[in-house]
Amino acid sequence: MKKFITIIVALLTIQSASAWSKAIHAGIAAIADANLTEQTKESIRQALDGRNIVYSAHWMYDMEKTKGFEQTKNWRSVAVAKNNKPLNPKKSLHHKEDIVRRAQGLEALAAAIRAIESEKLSKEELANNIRYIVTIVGDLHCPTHYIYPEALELRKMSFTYNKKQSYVSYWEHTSVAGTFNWKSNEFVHQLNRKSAEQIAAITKGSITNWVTKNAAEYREIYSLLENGTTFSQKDFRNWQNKIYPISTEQVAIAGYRLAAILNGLFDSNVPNVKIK
Amino acid sequence: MKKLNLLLLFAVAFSCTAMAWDNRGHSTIAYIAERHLTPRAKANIESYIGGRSIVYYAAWMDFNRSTPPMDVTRDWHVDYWTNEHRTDANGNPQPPCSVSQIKRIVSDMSDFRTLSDSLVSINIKYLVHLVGDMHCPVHIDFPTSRPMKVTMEKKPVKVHAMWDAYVLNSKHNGTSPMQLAEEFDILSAEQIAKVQSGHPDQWHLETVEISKKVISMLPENKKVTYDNYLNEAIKYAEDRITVAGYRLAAILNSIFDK
Repeated sequence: MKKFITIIVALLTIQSASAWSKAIHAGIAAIADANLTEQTKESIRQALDGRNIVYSAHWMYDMEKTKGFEQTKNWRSVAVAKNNKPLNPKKSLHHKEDIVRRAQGLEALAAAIRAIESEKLSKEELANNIRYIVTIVGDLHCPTHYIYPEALELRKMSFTYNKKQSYVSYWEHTSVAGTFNWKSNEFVHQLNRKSAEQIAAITKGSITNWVTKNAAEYREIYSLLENGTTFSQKDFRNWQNKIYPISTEQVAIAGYRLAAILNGLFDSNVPNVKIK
Repeated sequence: MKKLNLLLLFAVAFSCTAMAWDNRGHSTIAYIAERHLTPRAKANIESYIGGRSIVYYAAWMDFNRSTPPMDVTRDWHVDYWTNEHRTDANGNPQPPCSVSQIKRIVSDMSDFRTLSDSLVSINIKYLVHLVGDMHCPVHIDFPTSRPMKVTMEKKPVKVHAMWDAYVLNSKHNGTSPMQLAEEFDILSAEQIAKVQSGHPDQWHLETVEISKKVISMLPENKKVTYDNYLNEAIKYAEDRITVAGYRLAAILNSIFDK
């Protein structure tokens, strides 16, 4: 019995530490892939042994238990201050809360970009850093991957629909799939529909600007649920109707921004996205 | 494996008791329709729905059926085929029901540019959904079939619920609607033209006959298995979804290709 409980706890912990589902990461990568220039696509294809980025969309998660990749578990989220700006890593690395110390996603993304810009990578290192970027940019557009140290209790929010569920987990696994069970080509068909002007507005600014803007917007998701709510079937559907437009929009935004970063890195005709 | 499918999908059937085709079925219909929209109709339609694909709104009526003021549409999904107050002297279904709503919307939209953008937008969402519903066999609501239950994996389930989601998913669970549309959309131009001929009242009567057929096919002991029902029912479900897709395209092209 004790062993059974341990297994259940472990499973729950794994789920709560996870991110967007594999399908969403693939969807983000597919939207990005549809917005890569030919030069970028070709460079990435060569770096990834003929594969496109969709194939590697979840790779960082797949590798987390592999020796040498353990640190990637700390690259999925970002901690922000009350003004929504990313915490200085010197501060966050010594924060009393483990979840804040582990929120090194922005630094990891910046390091991967700088590594590629250095043009001093081996083929394997280049491939891995592309894969890191693909996964991390997706995660940095998942609202629950923003850690607000002054409001960590938000991460414990839950609701009941058939069973008690974590709000964080709902966002990561069900906020899209609860309404649309899309495959990667369907994500592209349904969401890759922004005009050039809209894409320019989405990709404007630095990565730090994006993170700050996201952090401010994502605080709002916690006002969409009264902690501890028990939903009827009807009320749950109505509540989900408020969630999925937000989550699908973030998937689209992540795809466009990922494309902007990769085009900047691999197409000499496209300006680099600045980190700060 | 089939037993596992039955168990897994049983939950789906139960969770969709008040739905029509489930999201997969409705999305497949909309994808098929989208493949047959003229470029002008597609552009006109998407300009009214925020640049989105019609597929995005395939199940929108189901998602919002309990939300005021959309709750007034709750009864639009089904065609009542009764001798009660919902039929006229000729036995024709009376509003509210999907076929009458489709006819009303098509008429209202004949000159869509004179309507407000919001009205055109919501009418598109209605059509995309209701044309699917009117081709779902159990959306012909016979008084005798309404309460009918069958047993699947030793558990009782309403025939309506079984057809809404389970029949299609018993074969196609895990296949994306976009993929299903590719697999189903195989008729020749001549065959498609034949399917698209006629008008909603005729299509409705066709669904009535198919509804009677799929109910008559149920095993006497009402214990549904792949062997005694589902393998045959799946063919009807695939056909109904495909036909609905072609007809939805025909309706939308007739309104928006101008």
